Amino acid sequence: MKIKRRNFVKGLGAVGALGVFAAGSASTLKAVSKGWWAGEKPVDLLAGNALPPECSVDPETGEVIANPDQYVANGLCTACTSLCGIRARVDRKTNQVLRVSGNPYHPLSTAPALDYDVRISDSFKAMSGFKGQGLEQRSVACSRGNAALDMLADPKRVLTPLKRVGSRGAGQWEPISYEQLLNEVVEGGNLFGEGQVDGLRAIRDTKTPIDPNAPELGPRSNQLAMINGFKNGRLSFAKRFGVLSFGSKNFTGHRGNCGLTMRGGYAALLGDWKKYPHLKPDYSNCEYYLSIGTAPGNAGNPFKRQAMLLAEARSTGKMKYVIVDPVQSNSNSLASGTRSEWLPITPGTDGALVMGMIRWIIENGRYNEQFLSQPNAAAAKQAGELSWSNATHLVVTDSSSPLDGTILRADALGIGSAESMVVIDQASGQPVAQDRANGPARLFYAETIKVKDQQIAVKTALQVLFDEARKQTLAEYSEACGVPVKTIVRLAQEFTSYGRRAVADTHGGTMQSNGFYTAYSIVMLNALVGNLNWKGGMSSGGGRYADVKPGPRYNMVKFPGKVGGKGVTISRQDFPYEKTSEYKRKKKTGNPYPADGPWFPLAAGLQPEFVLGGLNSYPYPLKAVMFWNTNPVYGQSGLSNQLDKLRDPKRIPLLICIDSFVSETAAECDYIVPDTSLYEYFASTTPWSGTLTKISTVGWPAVDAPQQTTPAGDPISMESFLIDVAKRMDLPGFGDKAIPDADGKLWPLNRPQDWYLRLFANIAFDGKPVPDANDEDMNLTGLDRFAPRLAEVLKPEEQRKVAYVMSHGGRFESEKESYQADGLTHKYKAPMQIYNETLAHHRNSMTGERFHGTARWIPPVFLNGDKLSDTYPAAKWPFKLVSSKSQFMNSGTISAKRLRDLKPSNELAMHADDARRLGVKSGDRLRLVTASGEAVGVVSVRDGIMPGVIGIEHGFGHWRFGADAMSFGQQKLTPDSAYSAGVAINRLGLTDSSRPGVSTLADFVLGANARNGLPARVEKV
Amino acid sequence: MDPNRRHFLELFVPTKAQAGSLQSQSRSPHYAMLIDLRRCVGCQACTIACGMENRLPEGQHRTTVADYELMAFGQTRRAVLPRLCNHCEQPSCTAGCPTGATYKREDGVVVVDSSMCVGCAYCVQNCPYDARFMNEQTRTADKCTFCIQRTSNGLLPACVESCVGKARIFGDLNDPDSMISKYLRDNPVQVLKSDKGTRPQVYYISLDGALQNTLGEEATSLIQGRRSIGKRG
Amino acid sequence: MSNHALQEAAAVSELAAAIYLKAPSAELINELKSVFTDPEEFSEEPLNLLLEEYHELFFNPVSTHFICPFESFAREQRYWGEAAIDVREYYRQAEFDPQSLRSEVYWKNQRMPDQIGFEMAFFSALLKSAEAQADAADELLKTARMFHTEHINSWMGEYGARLQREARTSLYRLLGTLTCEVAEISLEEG
Repeated sequence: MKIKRRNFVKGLGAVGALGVFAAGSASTLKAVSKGWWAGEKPVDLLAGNALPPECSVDPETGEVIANPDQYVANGLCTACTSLCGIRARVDRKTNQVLRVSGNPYHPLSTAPALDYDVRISDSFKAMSGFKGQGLEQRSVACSRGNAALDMLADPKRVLTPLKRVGSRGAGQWEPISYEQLLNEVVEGGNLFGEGQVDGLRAIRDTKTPIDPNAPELGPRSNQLAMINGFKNGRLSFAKRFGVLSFGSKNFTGHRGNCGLTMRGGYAALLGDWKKYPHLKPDYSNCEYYLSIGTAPGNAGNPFKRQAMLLAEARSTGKMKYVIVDPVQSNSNSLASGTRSEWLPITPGTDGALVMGMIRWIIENGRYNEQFLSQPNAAAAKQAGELSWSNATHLVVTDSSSPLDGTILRADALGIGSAESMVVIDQASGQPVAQDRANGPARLFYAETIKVKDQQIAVKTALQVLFDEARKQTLAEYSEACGVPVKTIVRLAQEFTSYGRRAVADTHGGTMQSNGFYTAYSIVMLNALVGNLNWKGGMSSGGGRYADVKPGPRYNMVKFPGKVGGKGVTISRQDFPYEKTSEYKRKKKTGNPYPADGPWFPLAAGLQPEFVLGGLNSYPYPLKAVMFWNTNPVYGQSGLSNQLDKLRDPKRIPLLICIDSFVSETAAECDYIVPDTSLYEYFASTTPWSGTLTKISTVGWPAVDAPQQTTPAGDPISMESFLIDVAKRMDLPGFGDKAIPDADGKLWPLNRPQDWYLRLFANIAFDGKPVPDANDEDMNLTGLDRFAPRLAEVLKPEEQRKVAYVMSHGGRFESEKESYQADGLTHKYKAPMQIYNETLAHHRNSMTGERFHGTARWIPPVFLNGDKLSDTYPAAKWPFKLVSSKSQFMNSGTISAKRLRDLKPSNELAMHADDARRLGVKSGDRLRLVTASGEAVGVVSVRDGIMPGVIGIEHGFGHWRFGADAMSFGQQKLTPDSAYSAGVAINRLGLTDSSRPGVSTLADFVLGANARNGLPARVEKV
Repeated sequence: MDPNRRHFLELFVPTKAQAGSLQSQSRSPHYAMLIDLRRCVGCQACTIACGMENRLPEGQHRTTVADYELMAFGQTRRAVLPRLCNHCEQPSCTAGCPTGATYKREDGVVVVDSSMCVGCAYCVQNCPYDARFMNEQTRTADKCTFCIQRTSNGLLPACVESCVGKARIFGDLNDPDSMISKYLRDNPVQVLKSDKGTRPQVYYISLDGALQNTLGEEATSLIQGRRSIGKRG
Repeated sequence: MSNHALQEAAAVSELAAAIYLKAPSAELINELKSVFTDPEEFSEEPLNLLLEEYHELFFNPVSTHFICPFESFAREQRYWGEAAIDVREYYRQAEFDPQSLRSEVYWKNQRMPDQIGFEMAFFSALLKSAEAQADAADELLKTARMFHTEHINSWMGEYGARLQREARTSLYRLLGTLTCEVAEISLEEG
């Protein structure tokens, strides 16, 4: 029926009561195309779309009936550096990970952990509601551990090898075949139409020096640098290729961009600059926990275990904790009442707070005198001590003596050997050789002593520390850090009131340009109360089972033709400037300082300097860099504004990145090689201290990775790529005859499983071999699917034992072994260093000044010693930016969509007084400006932040990963603004113009990247 | 829908798994939860675990942890408040349901039968705790079920299983030896909005007055997390 | 189809939508009076009676006079039915937001897209868009036809007839008539 003859159009005014459209809004609609679903019925009427459970446990009998459609694989989570053992629930049919929770046997996920000999089906029962067992023994995953599995299915994941189209960083990629990738990377050629590029074959030369005038730098193989991420259980494999086989010394993890200052502080305290041990508290028994620059339960390592034990200790236990941090986090929980305290502080000044405490503690005799006075291990043991220190050892403090700064050796006085130090025996008052002393020695001594007819000034190490602490008054320390004097005194008093059950710990908050000394002073507090190796005190961890070693079944580090790295790393770490040809050359003609670039003889894992050395071609040029599992373009503060040298193909001609995603770093490279991700790879690792018993955590492919496979049938990954490169180049240690067993017979390394299953065999047979896995263990964990691969690689007697290790997600010493009487079972043996001689021996290569050998307060400085505050006076730069940690998001998890849903963006956290002064409120936009760049963010007004500080959570503000427009051949990916939300604080990082070339601000002793305390100003938007 | 999945679910209906227990126990369990706020670290593992176990649409949550900054005795503190459906003894939601789709079971769990729910959302509006929401995918009223698909199989709810601080305790109030019964005997506990007469079965230890009745809506500032369960944005 | 016919169809749909979406007011009545001059079709009645009827017809579910104005309810006896999902997808693709309409706040506060006034407004907007965008006109008209078949003609005829029968006031009897007319709009060529 046609419309009635009314003439509505004439009669109606569009804007009156009879109109419903706002002006113009009716004419802009778009056409609609149909063809999509119409609704989804829920799976279950009451439970909705919930997953079917993995098993059923009879509430009366405890009988376990497993769901045949699923299996539960115990493995490894690498969504953060905690490296927790997890259990991944997998759908058998779709081969998808459905859920992740904790591995019941793993101390990082469960407290108390299940005994290792418990069968898998009993572990299901232990996690269930049966007799409430699962409440006590629950094994958990954090929000990130739960959500990370969504990253596996991210549509932006790299699934084929990619080669850049156009210039570096342009975002255009061409998918290429695996064969083409191998060919180009190994053989080189005019790969990009920009001229000849040397491939790996041409670069590998383990004999010819790079610079004949500086042979100490090493051979040309060093011109390949492998820059990697953290010790996620696969690093040793990459090292086999890069160092032992290819022969480059340039191999690093991420530490210098992460927490190297903390590590350095502990390395100094524990006297080991090679292995870099560190300490963590025995949380369960600790009664006073001073946490500076890290907040347990907020982030930190190991996050879950710290949080779980903190929760226990502050509710039913005895712990009181103080968090010293510019930003208040959830650790200062209201419900914890007086157990928890937050102390705000000016960034970069924690060293002043702690040196003030140290001064007060020593002045008031609150240190543990018995502990500190023991001159050697035997005397300590006799006194009932579990550790000892060099507090009593005499340090030469005489600038007129060539021995200045060293610890006096007994042979200099003719009273002992060259390996023994000198102490003043308390009983006799005479100098004795420390290793021959049988009683306590004097703690304070500042006299002269005769050495070869010369009177030289000496002090005990503790005296040196005390005199250093006394250089400033408490009032001066207080002014430097913003903490009132009476609070400094109260903290010092409290800290020394719990005997051995007080600990002081630190971590990434110290990543500032004075971070090493800050960390050394914080950890020094532990020495003053003598808590090392005690219950409730500090622990160096429980160690791991023999894996990448000459192990009981296979020698994983020896093979015919093995080379090793020689010379000097591109980062100039672990090698003193004074030994270089450059130094010798300059010394002949005058002052050898400053060096042409900074040298860091005490550093390890100095990732930022790997990058900077390559960009500056100092001390030699690089020809190729392989990045794996790391993202320094995002993670190194101050780097991202200086990418022009990275993008110049003449500077470093070949850049390869092995990664599952097109990260900020991958985006700048020539080739991207796909990698396996969580739950898809093999791994063998251990917690970073934080546990008291021996732990080896293993990961194995619980699901198949989605990317292209190699001809051997494995997904393209770091391991398979390096194996195939090595085989193509006929490198030693790969191929058919690569891994020797205990009898010397050589076994193949052609596929990743060849390496890892043999590693697992070492773990399984270390000491007393583990039991055999039975069929049920294997079915429940999905190893039945995996069994043929065990048979392909392992000897018959090894297969079921390796399966046991894999079914349990590793091998774990019983937690009953944690303590022996009042001490820890796993003890750190070497003495604590109140004064570190190696530290004092080395010099700042930019000034020639020797480093001070004990803890000291020094404000943030440039490499040449100039203060940051002189270049950035507070009047012009009134704010300091700090990088804080989210409990959920971190630098690598922006692709986890449920984490983004929980926390889509970060904010600029600012104190209410500052906000009032600026006239801003929460939700307002604000521009931050540092000397290097600007960023606009959204304000969040708080009381819980130090005035003058702006806190920015790390992990947001990406500009790659999918935030940008990329193309993979014909496939164009539209930018997703969800990835770029928020501010990336590292983009505002500083440079250091006291050094030549490209620079990022760093700690002057270790070269650790300085990302906190950035002087800034703000502008309203 | 995958027929095999349906099959497993049918195997594991409540009556079968509890068959043994029904014979020996004279009465049904009474499920409840206790949250010890001294232990909650605000990590949101529960929020995510619940969403993944129950396959909820993005942005919709059956439990969440609100996160506040407050002043207490002149000092700034952070406070966290995990919340979920309280499975009240006197639910405001079930009374207003026009079809009877939502009801409280003998074991204490308040459920929604999605075949009977017409999606009018009265229950969502009636809940004083903002614990319910309209599920965008199933288009029925939705809320915490105490993971009924897990508890009916002798397992624990996902949020309890994944609680890093071991703050969430779940169990049977009719069993005097259960952990929750012991906690309730040994500790003073609070419930949310105790003046509404709903008699919630989610108990808290160390629940601050600032959060108890206003759900923190007047707290100084909301740092992160969700103010109410299930609502977007 | 001629431009004039398009405009007529858009106008009558918008008119009916307005009466559904806005509570009766003096302004509304006056404007209607100037359009509907025949007292058989529309005669003014006391405002309070009109308001009462508006609420009873469209808001009060326990009233016997209630005729639920949502398509899902009319066709599937439930809210948020298949119809609602389908309509929501239409709006999403077309970039039509019921929130932007000038209507009573309480219609906007509820999220269901298949409210009769919204659907009529959408249809009207599609037609106006076809008129305004020459290059997309064919596609937009196709969309309008599809929507009309699936979501207007499928239920509004019956709804309008019932409204005509049960309304107590002439305003809402008129609305019933207009509803039937909208339901029977033909967008065929020629």
